Amino acid sequence: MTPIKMFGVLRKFADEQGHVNIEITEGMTVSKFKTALKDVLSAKFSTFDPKMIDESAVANHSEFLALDEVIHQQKEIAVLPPVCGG
Amino acid sequence: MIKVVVSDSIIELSNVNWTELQLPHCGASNTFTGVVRNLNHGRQVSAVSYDAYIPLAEKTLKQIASEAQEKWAKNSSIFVQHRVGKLMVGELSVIIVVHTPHRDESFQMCRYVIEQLKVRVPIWKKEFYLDGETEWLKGHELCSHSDRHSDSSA
Repeated sequence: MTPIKMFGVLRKFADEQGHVNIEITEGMTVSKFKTALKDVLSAKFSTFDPKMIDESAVANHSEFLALDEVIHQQKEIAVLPPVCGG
Repeated sequence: MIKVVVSDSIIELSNVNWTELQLPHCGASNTFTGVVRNLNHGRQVSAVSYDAYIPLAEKTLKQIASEAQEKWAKNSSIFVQHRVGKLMVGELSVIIVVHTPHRDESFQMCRYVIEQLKVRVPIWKKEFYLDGETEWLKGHELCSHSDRHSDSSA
Protein backbone atom coordinates (compact mmCIF):
# COMPACT_ATOMS: atom_id res chain seq x y z
CA MET A 1 0.00 0.00 0.00
CA THR A 2 1.27 3.44 -0.91
CA PRO A 3 0.52 6.45 1.32
CA ILE A 4 -1.17 9.17 -0.72
CA LYS A 5 -0.95 12.76 0.47
CA MET A 6 -4.28 14.58 0.73
CA PHE A 7 -4.73 18.34 1.01
CA GLY A 8 -7.34 20.99 1.70
CA VAL A 9 -10.91 19.77 1.84
CA LEU A 10 -9.71 16.18 1.26
CA ARG A 11 -7.72 16.07 4.52
CA LYS A 12 -10.84 15.06 6.45
CA PHE A 13 -10.73 11.70 4.65
CA ALA A 14 -7.06 11.09 5.53
CA ASP A 15 -5.28 9.87 8.64
CA GLU A 16 -3.48 12.16 11.10
CA GLN A 17 -0.47 12.37 8.77
CA GLY A 18 -2.74 13.46 5.92
CA HIS A 19 -2.45 10.12 4.12
CA VAL A 20 -4.81 7.63 2.51
CA ASN A 21 -3.42 4.20 1.66
CA ILE A 22 -4.05 2.97 -1.86
CA GLU A 23 -2.56 -0.02 -3.63
CA ILE A 24 -0.69 1.22 -6.69
CA THR A 25 -0.69 -1.66 -9.16
CA GLU A 26 1.83 -2.16 -11.96
CA GLY A 27 1.10 0.16 -14.86
CA MET A 28 -1.70 2.04 -13.06
CA THR A 29 -2.53 5.31 -14.77
CA VAL A 30 -3.59 8.48 -12.97
CA SER A 31 -7.10 7.95 -14.29
CA LYS A 32 -7.30 4.43 -12.84
CA PHE A 33 -5.73 5.63 -9.61
CA LYS A 34 -8.46 8.25 -9.23
CA THR A 35 -11.10 5.56 -9.72
CA ALA A 36 -9.44 3.35 -7.08
CA LEU A 37 -9.25 6.28 -4.67
CA LYS A 38 -12.93 7.08 -5.19
CA ASP A 39 -13.84 3.44 -4.49
CA VAL A 40 -11.83 3.37 -1.25
CA LEU A 41 -13.18 6.67 0.06
CA SER A 42 -16.77 5.92 -0.98
CA ALA A 43 -16.63 2.67 1.00
CA LYS A 44 -15.25 4.39 4.12
CA PHE A 45 -17.07 7.73 4.27
CA SER A 46 -20.77 8.42 3.77
CA THR A 47 -20.01 12.11 3.34
CA PHE A 48 -17.52 11.54 0.53
CA ASP A 49 -18.56 12.82 -2.90
CA PRO A 50 -16.61 11.24 -5.83
CA LYS A 51 -16.84 14.59 -7.62
CA MET A 52 -14.18 15.84 -5.19
CA ILE A 53 -11.66 13.50 -6.82
CA ASP A 54 -12.89 14.23 -10.34
CA GLU A 55 -12.11 17.91 -9.65
CA SER A 56 -8.68 17.15 -8.19
CA ALA A 57 -5.28 17.00 -9.85
CA VAL A 58 -2.67 14.35 -9.11
CA ALA A 59 0.98 15.30 -8.71
CA ASN A 60 4.30 14.29 -7.26
CA HIS A 61 6.65 16.69 -5.47
CA SER A 62 7.85 18.27 -8.70
CA GLU A 63 5.14 18.03 -11.37
CA PHE A 64 1.47 17.59 -12.14
CA LEU A 65 0.60 14.24 -13.68
CA ALA A 66 -1.62 13.83 -16.74
CA LEU A 67 -4.58 11.44 -16.61
CA ASP A 68 -2.95 8.93 -18.96
CA GLU A 69 0.39 8.96 -17.14
CA VAL A 70 1.53 5.81 -15.35
CA ILE A 71 2.13 6.19 -11.61
CA HIS A 72 5.39 4.77 -10.38
CA GLN A 73 5.21 3.21 -6.95
CA GLN A 74 8.36 4.87 -5.68
CA LYS A 75 7.07 8.36 -6.40
CA GLU A 76 5.40 10.49 -3.76
CA ILE A 77 1.78 10.96 -4.84
CA ALA A 78 -0.45 13.87 -3.85
CA VAL A 79 -4.10 14.60 -4.57
CA LEU A 80 -4.77 18.31 -5.03
CA PRO A 81 -8.32 19.67 -4.86
CA PRO A 82 -9.21 23.06 -6.44
CA VAL A 83 -6.83 25.72 -5.12
CA CYS A 84 -7.43 29.15 -3.57
CA GLY A 85 -4.24 30.66 -2.23
CA GLY A 86 -3.47 34.33 -1.74
CA MET B 1 16.66 36.99 -9.60
CA ILE B 2 13.75 34.98 -8.25
CA LYS B 3 13.21 34.02 -4.61
CA VAL B 4 10.19 32.03 -3.42
CA VAL B 5 9.20 30.88 0.08
CA VAL B 6 6.14 28.96 1.26
CA SER B 7 6.35 28.42 5.02
CA ASP B 8 4.78 29.09 8.40
CA SER B 9 7.09 32.07 9.00
CA ILE B 10 5.31 35.33 9.79
CA ILE B 11 5.34 37.76 6.85
CA GLU B 12 6.37 41.32 7.70
CA LEU B 13 7.52 44.12 5.41
CA SER B 14 10.40 44.76 7.79
CA ASN B 15 11.64 41.19 7.30
CA VAL B 16 12.01 41.54 3.51
CA ASN B 17 15.63 41.63 2.39
CA TRP B 18 15.30 44.77 0.27
CA THR B 19 19.04 45.04 -0.30
CA GLU B 20 19.06 41.63 -1.95
CA LEU B 21 16.10 42.51 -4.20
CA GLN B 22 17.13 46.00 -5.30
CA LEU B 23 19.10 46.07 -8.54
CA PRO B 24 21.13 49.12 -9.65
CA HIS B 25 19.35 49.37 -13.02
CA CYS B 26 15.84 49.06 -11.51
CA GLY B 27 13.94 52.30 -10.91
CA ALA B 28 10.59 50.76 -9.95
CA SER B 29 9.64 48.72 -6.90
CA ASN B 30 6.16 47.26 -6.59
CA THR B 31 4.84 45.43 -3.54
CA PHE B 32 1.57 43.52 -3.15
CA THR B 33 0.44 42.09 0.16
CA GLY B 34 -2.57 39.90 0.84
CA VAL B 35 -4.19 40.38 4.24
CA VAL B 36 -6.68 38.20 6.12
CA ARG B 37 -9.95 40.14 6.22
CA ASN B 38 -12.81 39.86 8.68
CA LEU B 39 -15.65 39.37 6.21
CA ASN B 40 -16.19 36.98 3.30
CA HIS B 41 -19.49 36.52 1.45
CA GLY B 42 -21.31 38.17 4.35
CA ARG B 43 -19.81 35.91 7.03
CA GLN B 44 -17.72 37.23 9.91
CA VAL B 45 -14.27 35.67 9.70
CA SER B 46 -12.04 35.29 12.76
CA ALA B 47 -9.09 33.46 11.18
CA VAL B 48 -7.87 31.62 8.10
CA SER B 49 -5.80 28.46 7.86
CA TYR B 50 -3.63 27.86 4.78
CA ASP B 51 -2.63 24.38 3.65
CA ALA B 52 -0.02 23.85 0.90
CA TYR B 53 1.84 21.16 -0.95
CA ILE B 54 5.04 23.08 -0.34
CA PRO B 55 7.57 21.56 -2.79
CA LEU B 56 5.20 21.85 -5.75
CA ALA B 57 3.86 25.22 -4.59
CA GLU B 58 7.37 26.68 -4.52
CA LYS B 59 8.23 25.16 -7.87
CA THR B 60 5.04 26.52 -9.47
CA LEU B 61 5.64 29.98 -8.00
CA LYS B 62 9.17 30.01 -9.45
CA GLN B 63 7.74 29.04 -12.81
CA ILE B 64 5.14 31.84 -12.64
CA ALA B 65 7.82 34.38 -11.69
CA SER B 66 9.99 33.17 -14.53
CA GLU B 67 7.09 33.59 -16.96
CA ALA B 68 6.60 37.17 -15.73
CA GLN B 69 10.26 37.95 -16.28
CA GLU B 70 10.18 36.40 -19.75
CA LYS B 71 7.03 38.37 -20.64
CA TRP B 72 7.98 41.82 -19.28
CA ALA B 73 11.49 42.23 -17.85
CA LYS B 74 14.19 39.58 -17.73
CA ASN B 75 16.51 41.93 -15.83
CA SER B 76 14.23 42.17 -12.79
CA SER B 77 13.93 40.65 -9.32
CA ILE B 78 10.86 38.92 -7.91
CA PHE B 79 10.29 37.84 -4.32
CA VAL B 80 7.21 35.82 -3.31
CA GLN B 81 6.42 34.56 0.18
CA HIS B 82 3.22 32.73 1.12
CA ARG B 83 2.27 31.73 4.63
CA VAL B 84 0.85 28.37 5.73
CA GLY B 85 -0.85 27.60 9.05
CA LYS B 86 -3.45 29.57 10.99
CA LEU B 87 -3.53 33.35 10.57
CA MET B 88 -5.68 35.83 12.45
CA VAL B 89 -7.52 38.74 10.82
CA GLY B 90 -5.04 41.44 9.82
CA GLU B 91 -2.06 39.13 9.31
CA LEU B 92 -0.29 38.99 5.94
CA SER B 93 -0.90 35.81 3.96
CA VAL B 94 1.25 36.66 0.96
CA ILE B 95 3.78 39.24 -0.21
CA ILE B 96 5.06 39.85 -3.72
CA VAL B 97 7.90 42.30 -4.36
CA VAL B 98 8.94 43.13 -7.91
CA HIS B 99 11.85 45.35 -8.93
CA THR B 100 12.04 46.38 -12.61
CA PRO B 101 13.76 49.05 -14.68
CA HIS B 102 10.46 50.94 -15.25
CA ARG B 103 7.14 51.22 -13.39
CA ASP B 104 4.79 49.82 -16.02
CA GLU B 105 6.27 46.31 -16.01
CA SER B 106 6.53 46.30 -12.23
CA PHE B 107 2.74 46.74 -11.91
CA GLN B 108 2.02 44.18 -14.62
CA MET B 109 4.40 41.57 -13.25
CA CYS B 110 3.12 41.95 -9.70
CA ARG B 111 -0.47 41.55 -10.95
CA TYR B 112 0.47 38.55 -13.08
CA VAL B 113 2.11 36.74 -10.17
CA ILE B 114 -0.83 37.14 -7.75
CA GLU B 115 -3.47 36.27 -10.37
CA GLN B 116 -1.59 33.15 -11.48
CA LEU B 117 -0.86 32.18 -7.86
CA LYS B 118 -4.58 32.07 -7.16
CA VAL B 119 -5.35 29.60 -9.94
CA ARG B 120 -2.20 27.48 -10.30
CA VAL B 121 -0.38 27.12 -7.00
CA PRO B 122 -1.36 24.21 -4.71
CA ILE B 123 -2.44 26.24 -1.68
CA TRP B 124 -5.81 25.94 0.10
CA LYS B 125 -7.68 28.20 2.47
CA LYS B 126 -9.99 27.28 5.35
CA GLU B 127 -11.98 30.05 7.00
CA PHE B 128 -12.92 30.11 10.68
CA TYR B 129 -16.11 32.05 11.40
CA LEU B 130 -17.22 33.87 14.53
CA ASP B 131 -20.20 31.51 14.83
CA GLY B 132 -17.77 28.60 15.34
CA GLU B 133 -18.15 27.02 11.90
CA THR B 134 -15.29 26.40 9.45
CA GLU B 135 -15.21 25.96 5.69
CA TRP B 136 -12.63 25.16 3.01
CA LEU B 137 -13.12 27.74 0.27
CA LYS B 138 -14.00 26.61 -3.22
CA GLY B 139 -11.24 27.24 -5.70
CA HIS B 140 -9.85 26.68 -9.17
CA GLU B 141 -9.34 23.21 -10.54
CA LEU B 142 -5.76 22.28 -11.37
CA CYS B 143 -6.82 19.53 -13.77
CA SER B 144 -6.49 21.69 -16.89
CA HIS B 145 -2.91 22.51 -15.92
CA SER B 146 -2.08 18.91 -15.07
CA ASP B 147 -3.19 17.82 -18.52
CA ARG B 148 -0.62 20.15 -19.99
CA HIS B 149 2.12 19.25 -17.50
CA SER B 150 4.31 22.33 -17.04
CA ASP B 151 3.18 24.28 -20.08
CA SER B 152 4.52 27.77 -19.46
CA SER B 153 1.80 29.36 -21.59
CA ALA B 154 -0.83 28.42 -18.96
